[in-house]
Amino acid sequence: MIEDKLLIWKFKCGSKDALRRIYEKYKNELLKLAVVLVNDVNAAEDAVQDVFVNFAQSAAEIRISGNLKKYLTVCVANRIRNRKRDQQRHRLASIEDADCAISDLKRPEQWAILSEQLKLLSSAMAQIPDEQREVIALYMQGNLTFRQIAGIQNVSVNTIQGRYRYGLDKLRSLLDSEVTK
Amino acid sequence: MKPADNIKKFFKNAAISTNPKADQAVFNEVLTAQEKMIEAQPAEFKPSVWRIIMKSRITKFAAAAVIIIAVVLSIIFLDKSTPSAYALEQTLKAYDGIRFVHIKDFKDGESEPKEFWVELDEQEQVKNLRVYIPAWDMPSEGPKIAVWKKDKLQVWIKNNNVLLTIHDKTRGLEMLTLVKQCDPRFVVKELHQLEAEGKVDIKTSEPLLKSEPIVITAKFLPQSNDVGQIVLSVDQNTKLVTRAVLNQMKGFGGYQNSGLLEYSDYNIEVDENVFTLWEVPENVTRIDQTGPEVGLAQAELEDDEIAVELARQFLQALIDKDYDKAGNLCGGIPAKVIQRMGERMSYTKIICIEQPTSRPNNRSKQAISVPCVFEVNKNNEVFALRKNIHVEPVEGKPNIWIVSNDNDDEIAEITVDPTDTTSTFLKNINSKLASLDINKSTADDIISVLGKPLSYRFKNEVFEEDNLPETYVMTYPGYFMVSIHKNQIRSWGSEEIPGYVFSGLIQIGSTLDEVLKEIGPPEKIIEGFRLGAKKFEDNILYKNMNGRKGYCYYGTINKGKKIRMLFRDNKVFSLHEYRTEPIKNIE
Repeated sequence: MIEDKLLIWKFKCGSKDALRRIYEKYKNELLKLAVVLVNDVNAAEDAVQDVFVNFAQSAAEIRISGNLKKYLTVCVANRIRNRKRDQQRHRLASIEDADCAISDLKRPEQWAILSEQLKLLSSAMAQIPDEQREVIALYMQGNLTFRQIAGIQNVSVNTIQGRYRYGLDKLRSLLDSEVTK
Repeated sequence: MKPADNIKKFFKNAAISTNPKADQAVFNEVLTAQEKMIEAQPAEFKPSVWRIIMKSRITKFAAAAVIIIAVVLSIIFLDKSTPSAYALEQTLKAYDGIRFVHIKDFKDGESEPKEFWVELDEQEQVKNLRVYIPAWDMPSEGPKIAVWKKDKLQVWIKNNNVLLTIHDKTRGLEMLTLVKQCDPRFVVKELHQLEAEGKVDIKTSEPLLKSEPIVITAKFLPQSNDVGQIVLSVDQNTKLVTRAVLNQMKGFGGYQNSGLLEYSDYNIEVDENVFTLWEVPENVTRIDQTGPEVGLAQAELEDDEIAVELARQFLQALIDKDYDKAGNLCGGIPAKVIQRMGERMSYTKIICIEQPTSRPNNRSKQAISVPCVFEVNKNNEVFALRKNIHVEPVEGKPNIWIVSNDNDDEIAEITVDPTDTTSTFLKNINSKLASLDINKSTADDIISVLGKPLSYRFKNEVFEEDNLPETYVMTYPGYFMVSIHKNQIRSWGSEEIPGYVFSGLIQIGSTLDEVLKEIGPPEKIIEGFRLGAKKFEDNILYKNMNGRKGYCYYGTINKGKKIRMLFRDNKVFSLHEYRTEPIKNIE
């Protein structure tokens, strides 16, 4: 959209206002995406905050012609995937709880406030496999295309569509009573 | 309704909001990050050039110019549906023949604007571009002048007297795409759509006096997801835009000015020097990435192979103090610039280069990160550093790769602080551990031999030494850690950084083959184990876990010692020895 291109341009020129506008414009959508991806509000908050902090430091790398929303969406998804990967590594590395992960510095107050419906959705999403969850979240909430998601997951579009269908079936069964309301 | 529609609706209705206080706290941190980024402009020559080449690349200026054109041309068509006497076709027609425009971009509080001179060809594609960036934009770098012609961008950084030349086909295409997006058909179509959806409100004011401009106010409504307004002034006689005021919404209601653009010199006769850097002095330092000798040719190598080879050659060049070569591999950075980097510490040895990973960035989808562990000497102290070296193809030359040192937002670099004592600590770790018995030694014994740890931790908590829980981990430099339970040792071991050696041979970086050769084959191999599904069993080699090739686990008892290892790319990255006797239940 035109406004995004202007915002990026201004942001690249060092505008704090542009950064604030970008933050205001996308924080809720990104938080929601992160919540459904990770089903952990603290982790979701951390991921989105990290993405914005890194974004603020990467003015030179951001393309004006790119799609800002999609860029941030992919950043959040990657951040969460990295977090899961690190957790798995630490889970192993910390066999018998020899875990020395650096403690997270938490914000004094909860940043994201979830509606009951989002809590329900997030909880249901947590019960479907990672790959399927990511496809559904990126497609439904991130508005990415199957082709774009295929690029992210490094698999074919057909595989993505399969994951989407399976995930959707599972999600529907989990939310059965809710989605028909 | 389809199931997908139901779920989509569910997604849409699942609302989220934010706590204003925390919201502000988060944004403050984001803002601080931006400020630090802007302020982090070291005065010395090297970092500035490094950053310019590897991060900014100056092309933003060129792109900025184009987006201005995009704004102008886009907004011209905003009044398609307004019932004014001023007709869209008049401006469309006026712009038909426009081939040159001079743009000034003013910032509040600064008298000197950024300036752009843009020439279009017959197909209305950007043909030539000149950009002037005043010193206030980036005070540490000072003023800059850039010219762009076809696929080549040249930037003169006046204060540093550096002339950077790069091939810029990608950015060129980007610019052309942006211009294309200003095609009336495209813009009108999009705005029609927005208007039909009630997302844009357009008002046109056409004064009676011909000397006064037509004012077009385009307001993006909240439902458009674009908040802000743009006010254009259009010359009544020429029907060309003369200025644009960009307003962003401020709080609830009201706008604040966020930019003023002035357009002039439409179709003036262009001086031939406008699109050349005639000002550049003879003694300028030239960094030219367009020459055939820059970077490393990919030849028949796969992307991963060229990435590893490039990282290896770059490190080796630093070790050999061959700064010409290192600079060349960095895309043409002068040797003296690299030499300054090399003078800070001496690169002495490549310890290992791990499996590279794809790290696409905004310039290249092929960009790759290569984790490298190498040894450096600083002030006569030897350190092991682990750093990801980023490489990517040169823009416009896909078969030539360079070190880009790009810090993209998705990579967590593990860089050991050279001021720590990692190397010296790990240097003596094996001889020190030899004096301890893992089954009998206590936490106090560990401290007496290894010294006090950097921290006492358990999961995410950090403890004071006088208030320790029953179970905790003592952490030492170089990711060496000792797990303690009831004051007895449960395990010790290391991650990521070589130094600690098990049984005299196995260490971080050892290959799976080397490990199996040393401690013998497993009783069983399980492929594709899913982490978290169940616990590992000893003497079983878990290969390619989670479907990830080379990601393995193996735990066994060898020569009376219990060892557990994790492998990434079939190389040990986590190595821990465990006690073989049960923990004594000491109260």
